Amino acid sequence: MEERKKNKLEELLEGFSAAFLGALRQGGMERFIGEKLLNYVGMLLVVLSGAFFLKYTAGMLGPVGKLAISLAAGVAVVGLGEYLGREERYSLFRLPLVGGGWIVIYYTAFAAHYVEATRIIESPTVGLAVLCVAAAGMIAHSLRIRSRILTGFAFALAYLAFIVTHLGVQSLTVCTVLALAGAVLVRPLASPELAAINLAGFYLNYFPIFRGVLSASGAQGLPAADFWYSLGMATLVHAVFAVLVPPKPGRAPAAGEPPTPPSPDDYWMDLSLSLSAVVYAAVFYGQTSAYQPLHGAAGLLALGGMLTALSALRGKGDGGSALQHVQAFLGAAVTALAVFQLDGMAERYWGFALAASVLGTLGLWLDRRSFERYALAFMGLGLLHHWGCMGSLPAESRLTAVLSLGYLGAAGYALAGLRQRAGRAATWISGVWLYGGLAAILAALWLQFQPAAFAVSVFVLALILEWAAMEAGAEPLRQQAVLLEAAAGLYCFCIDYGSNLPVLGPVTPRLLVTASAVVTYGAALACCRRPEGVFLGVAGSDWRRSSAWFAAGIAAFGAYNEFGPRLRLPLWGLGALALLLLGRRREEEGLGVAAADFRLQAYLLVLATAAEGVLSYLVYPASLLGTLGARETAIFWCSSLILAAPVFWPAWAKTPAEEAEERSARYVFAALSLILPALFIAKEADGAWITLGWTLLGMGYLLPGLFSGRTPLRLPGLALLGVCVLKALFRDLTGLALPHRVLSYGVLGVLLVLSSFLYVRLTKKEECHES
Amino acid sequence: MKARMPMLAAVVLMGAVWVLHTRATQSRESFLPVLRAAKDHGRQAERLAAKAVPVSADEERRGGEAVVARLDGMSREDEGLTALGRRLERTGLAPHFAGRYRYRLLQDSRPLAFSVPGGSIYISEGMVTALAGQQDRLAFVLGHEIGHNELGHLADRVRYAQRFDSWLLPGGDLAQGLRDLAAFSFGPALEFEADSYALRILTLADLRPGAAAETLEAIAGRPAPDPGTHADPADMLVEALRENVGTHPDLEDRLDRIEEDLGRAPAGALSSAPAPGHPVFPPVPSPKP
Repeated sequence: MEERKKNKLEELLEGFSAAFLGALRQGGMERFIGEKLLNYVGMLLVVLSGAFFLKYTAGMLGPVGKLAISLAAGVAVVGLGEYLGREERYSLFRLPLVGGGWIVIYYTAFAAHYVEATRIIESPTVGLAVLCVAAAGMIAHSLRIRSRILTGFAFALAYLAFIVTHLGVQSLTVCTVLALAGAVLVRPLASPELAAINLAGFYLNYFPIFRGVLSASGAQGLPAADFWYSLGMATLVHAVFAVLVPPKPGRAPAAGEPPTPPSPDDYWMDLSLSLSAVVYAAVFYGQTSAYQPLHGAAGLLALGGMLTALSALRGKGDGGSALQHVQAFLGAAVTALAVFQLDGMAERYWGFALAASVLGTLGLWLDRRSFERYALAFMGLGLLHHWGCMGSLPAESRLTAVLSLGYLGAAGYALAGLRQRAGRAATWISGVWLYGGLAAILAALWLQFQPAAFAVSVFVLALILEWAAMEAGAEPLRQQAVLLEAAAGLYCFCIDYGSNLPVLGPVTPRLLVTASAVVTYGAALACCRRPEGVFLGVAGSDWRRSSAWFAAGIAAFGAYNEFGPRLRLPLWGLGALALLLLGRRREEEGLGVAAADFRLQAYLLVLATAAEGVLSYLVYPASLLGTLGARETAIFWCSSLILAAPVFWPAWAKTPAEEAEERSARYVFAALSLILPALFIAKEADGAWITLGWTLLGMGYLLPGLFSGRTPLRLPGLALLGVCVLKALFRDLTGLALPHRVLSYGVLGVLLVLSSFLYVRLTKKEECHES
Repeated sequence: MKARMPMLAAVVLMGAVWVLHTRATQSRESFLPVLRAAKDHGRQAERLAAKAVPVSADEERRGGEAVVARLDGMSREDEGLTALGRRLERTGLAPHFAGRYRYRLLQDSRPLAFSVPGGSIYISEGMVTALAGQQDRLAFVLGHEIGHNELGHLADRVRYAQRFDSWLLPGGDLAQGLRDLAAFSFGPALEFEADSYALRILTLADLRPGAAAETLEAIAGRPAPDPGTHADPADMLVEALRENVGTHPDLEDRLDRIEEDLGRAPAGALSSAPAPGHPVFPPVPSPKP
């Protein structure tokens, strides 16, 4: 069974416990107790006996005397330790004696000011200085004898002394110097415990200041200079440790070589520094929030930036160091907190956008997945923030929000492109950048524009993506483009244009949006490649074909809403004709992809035109139609004539199925070209005039059909004449006065006879030619 | 050239965006355009039914008799209203009950106006007060109610009520209430038609068509606050549901339609008087019965 890959924290804890247990195992438990533990505990008891001696002699000597004895005792013990250390067989006693002696010296320095009975130094500052001298002496001595344990002990003792004698900012200054010294010594001494001792000691000495700031009186009482000074010291210590102490990223293993595992010391270091980073961030956040709530966001931003920079300084790649990840995470989390705390909505918009772009750029440059993931999280937070705020965004902040969202969108696309160019792995990150960027740009457009302008702007975006996909050969951009085109197409059906007053001459917003849709889909079909393969379960060619349907649907719907019945019908009819013309293509790419769809749309539109002619024109109340103008009449009749064009077109079909379809198309369009004027006459004329008008119209189709030998013209004409006969017999009979009845019947009868004569004569000639 | 076409088209469309952003009247997201297109076709089916099964003027009168009898007790003839109504009838746009419309002033302080099948139109005193007695505003209200008669809305309701009479058990307040509801409630589509009709009749009668918007605002109070340019999908659904069950469209929608009719009508189109019957061919007299 495959072992589960351990995460960084598990690896760190495992290494830490291995290092500790290893030290124990090395010497065995009995040797450890006998050689070391007995020694140190014994020395501790000797020191305590010295302290009790001083107490005993308290009444006999004055302060100076007491201190002198104590100092002398301490120096003597140190000296004894040094003397014994020269002999190999007594070297074991060196460290305990030296350490014990220095404890006594420390205590002497402490007692010089802080113990009532032995006070000879009145000034707290001087007392602190004396303690510093003692600490410096012990540390220097430990360095001279090159003892890790003694050095660590010296630092710990110094911090302990400073905690007990805390003087606020002055103590903190001393502890800062101490910590910086410790940071410098960690690597040369190969002493990871020094890092832990210095960090723990520093933060323990920092705690009184932190507690003072958090309490109400502390926030009022602590001078601003001290507040910033203390924060600065904490920042300096953390930064120095984060830079100097961690191991430098080693040489990358050669191909095929396993990576060098970290040493136990590195685990100690990593854990100490990681904990320190967490404590430092908590201190910074708590202190800034309590003392400077108005500037809390600025402080947090600075903290977040610093932690991120410290993580970035670790170099390229997601290395094995936990500190790197902890600082990166803390930096991102603190920055997110800071952005949420910003006062204005517009500032928050920009905060998320800039944080996402900066982290994303850093992640790309340093090849750090963690930075990239946090950047994506910021982008998501920014979009969620927009979703939550968009209903309450004040007008004065709108432009700023739009610009920030636009910037975020551009950054998303730029980072995705740069990732691809750099050949980075984890391509899902590029995908998220692309779609997140698209969402941000759409949000910006949606915020800036009202629906009509928004719809057209989405079409613009789709065209830009199509062009970019062609130039860069980027399939994801093409997929986004077709997705946008489909979404915008659906959106066009959900726009209420209000009063829809003209904006450009006679052009209304509805017309402008409809035209934009048709132009976009036309350009996409004619000039752009289809998406490859399958996208969201739909084949690429089907995505392109859907453009044809969206274009036709939007144009038909737009014409329906924009124009009254008198203009709508001819427009739909001409639209059907245009679709039929577009459908006469054979190429595999471009408009030819949707040729069959165009033809189908043409036939459907013809049916819809005929149905609309009856439903929304013939029975429509005349009082709502308005006055019939010459322009409308001319458009109606001219379009009706043009609709007969398929009857005269050159043949296009090559197969029997296509021939049958083409033949049907001729009949269908010829019928429509007759139906429209027939409806016009029925609507605009009255009584017998309808019969006469229809009769003349029928003849107008029958005669040219006979003379040109075109059946698609003849048959509709014949049908109309048949309807005239029925109307004359069953309707005009009861509906007309006698003189008008005579006229109607007479003219109709004569024309029918004439038609019959011509019909027989001319169709016989056709048969002769065919035979 | 083919490779540059999308970018060229994008540049051209950016101009369209600019024009729409700077000049267009307020648009909004809504399902109503699709819903109303579907309802228009339903209305067209109703008109076909009216052709197939017409309701005569006498049947209409009988359909409204009971209601007229009740309302006449609460109203009175008003000379001013009647004179205004007759002026509108003389435009020739009201042939169905021409000369036979009855204009009654209802004793009610609420702003009410409605029409009963058979040509009886009721305007409340509250309505007259709300319109400050202005003639062109009252004319819009009267024209709107005449439009319900002339466009066949009331005849259709009588046809439905007759169906209720045959389907429901006769008698009882519930049956009567349902019958009245079927007889007198209209939907938003019919209200839009009546508004358009009223605009035309106002213009033909040499009255101000702009009084239409003033009238609606005076009746409904201040216009509803702009719901904003962008709508929540949930709000769009609620609006669509309200459209199905409501009797009147939103005030903003009615004002938009009126503005669109007025703004886009070619000069004289609303004001040219159509000849009674059909303007293209001269009228043909019907035979004497």
